[in-house]
Amino acid sequence: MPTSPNENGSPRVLAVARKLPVLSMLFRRLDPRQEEILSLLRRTSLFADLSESELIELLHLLHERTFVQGETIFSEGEPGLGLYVIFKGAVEIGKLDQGGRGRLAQLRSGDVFGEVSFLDGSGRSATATASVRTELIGFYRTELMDLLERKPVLASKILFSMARQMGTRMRAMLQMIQP
Amino acid sequence: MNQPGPVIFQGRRFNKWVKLGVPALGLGLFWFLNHEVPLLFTSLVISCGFYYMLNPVVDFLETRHLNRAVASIMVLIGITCVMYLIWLRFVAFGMDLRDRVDLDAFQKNMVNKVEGVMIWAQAKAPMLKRWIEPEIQVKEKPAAIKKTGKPSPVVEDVQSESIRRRVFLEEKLSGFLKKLVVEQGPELARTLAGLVPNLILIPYFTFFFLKDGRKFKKTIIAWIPNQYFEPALKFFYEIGRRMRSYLQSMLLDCTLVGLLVGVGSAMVGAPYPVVFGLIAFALNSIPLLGPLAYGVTCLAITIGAGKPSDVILGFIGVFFVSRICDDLIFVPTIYGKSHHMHPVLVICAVLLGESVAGIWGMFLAIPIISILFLGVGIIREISQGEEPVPLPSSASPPFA
Repeated sequence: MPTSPNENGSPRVLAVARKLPVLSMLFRRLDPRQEEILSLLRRTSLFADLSESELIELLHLLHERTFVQGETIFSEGEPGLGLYVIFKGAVEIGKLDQGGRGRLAQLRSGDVFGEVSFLDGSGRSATATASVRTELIGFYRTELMDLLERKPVLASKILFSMARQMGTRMRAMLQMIQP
Repeated sequence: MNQPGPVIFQGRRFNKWVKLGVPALGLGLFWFLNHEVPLLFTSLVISCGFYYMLNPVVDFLETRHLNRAVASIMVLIGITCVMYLIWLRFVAFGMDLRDRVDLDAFQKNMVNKVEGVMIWAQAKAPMLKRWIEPEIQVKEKPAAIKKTGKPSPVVEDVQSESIRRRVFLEEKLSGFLKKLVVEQGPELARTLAGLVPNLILIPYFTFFFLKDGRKFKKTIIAWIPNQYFEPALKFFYEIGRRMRSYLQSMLLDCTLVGLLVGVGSAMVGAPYPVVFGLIAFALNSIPLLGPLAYGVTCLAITIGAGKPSDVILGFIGVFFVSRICDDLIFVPTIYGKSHHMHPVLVICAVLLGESVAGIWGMFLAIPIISILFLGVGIIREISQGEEPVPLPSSASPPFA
């Protein structure tokens, strides 16, 4: 009997059992909205390495937030807890300088922001504002702490992936400032 | 158009009323809910406690690809089986007690032991004689003495003293037992009957908390406006984390004390060691009064079962060892210093809980007071904000 994991990370026996009408009731099911968020997470580079079951586990820890056009998601200098994935809409990242607010980036669906404060708990390094009506998926440090206690392997994978992404951004930044 | 960002509570001004306001509000809400909807309130609070204790098991089963509802049912069935086994054990204990110990024998054994202790105490410390004797001497000379002829004044004195002591003790004990059975018995039966609806509601609520707890939490949190969302999330997280830690610590502590008392009782030859362990497990969660209650109950059963003095002394030793281990090893190790409460506050909380919510109030007083204090502490922490992480002097940009 094949029991090795399939590409989604769950054993084949379970995958077969999920398809049987009576047995399928015993297994976890997701509603269409959750399926939609799951598909977004699969496309997000930060969570791309996670298996299907790990993504479902992560799904239960995420919070959906909606911001109207022009609403500040977080302001520069404020202590931050969460990182956000843009589900629908767009977000403008800006930074205050001597001449007023400078625009750093315009982010679209699937982009991730806020991971610096998420990791170190220090003040936000920039201000994020919703350019249009925006739906965000928030992942907060409190949930990561909870995950570290309950499922350290999954939490480590997320942290490792985050560290890799930060490294990539750092390299890109260094290339930008080098003459 | 810029909306205000997440608001961090402004430190000192906020703290002034929070320090007194939150505990007062919490206690007021506790009293109101318990007064207006006692059944619902106690059932919900106890179900929350079970939720925090059982949730890790359901989480684990869920990671094994089980549906959360199925995992919750499995956990509840497991708990029900354990409770049923405990219940069977208590029923067997009750039947055994009914068959083996009648009230007269129990009374006789108690009188014998207490008299033995009195004689021993008087012999060792004559000053105690003056303290015990006057109360005995006020009693009338029993009829039994009148019937015993007149052998000699000295013999009569010794006999009459012994008989007077026995009659005094028997009168006291039978009066106490009569009072306990006649006055307290129906009250106790009413209290126990009042727990039956709780016993039906608690598993019901616990199941739905386990199954849909995350959804409930997310639904409640989803209502919080964006600007307060992060502080509120931190508050709920800290409350949940510390509550879980407290309840799991309490469960572990009670289990260890129960095991210690059970094993110790078996070693010294006390009767019903399993039942003694279970009684200690159940009552140890009530601070100060709980240990006293299980100590006295188990001691009375040991004496009533007619066990010899060395077994009784052995059980007293087991009780003291269990208290020393609990107070000096288990509590500091398991709970840590964060849950330390002043003994005066503990006893006040337990008595207040008993007067407000009866037997459940005694069990719930300390967790509820702890949550209130935790709530204040967490709000204070959040209001002060986190210290910014300073960059080390050696910090430099990555070079490779």
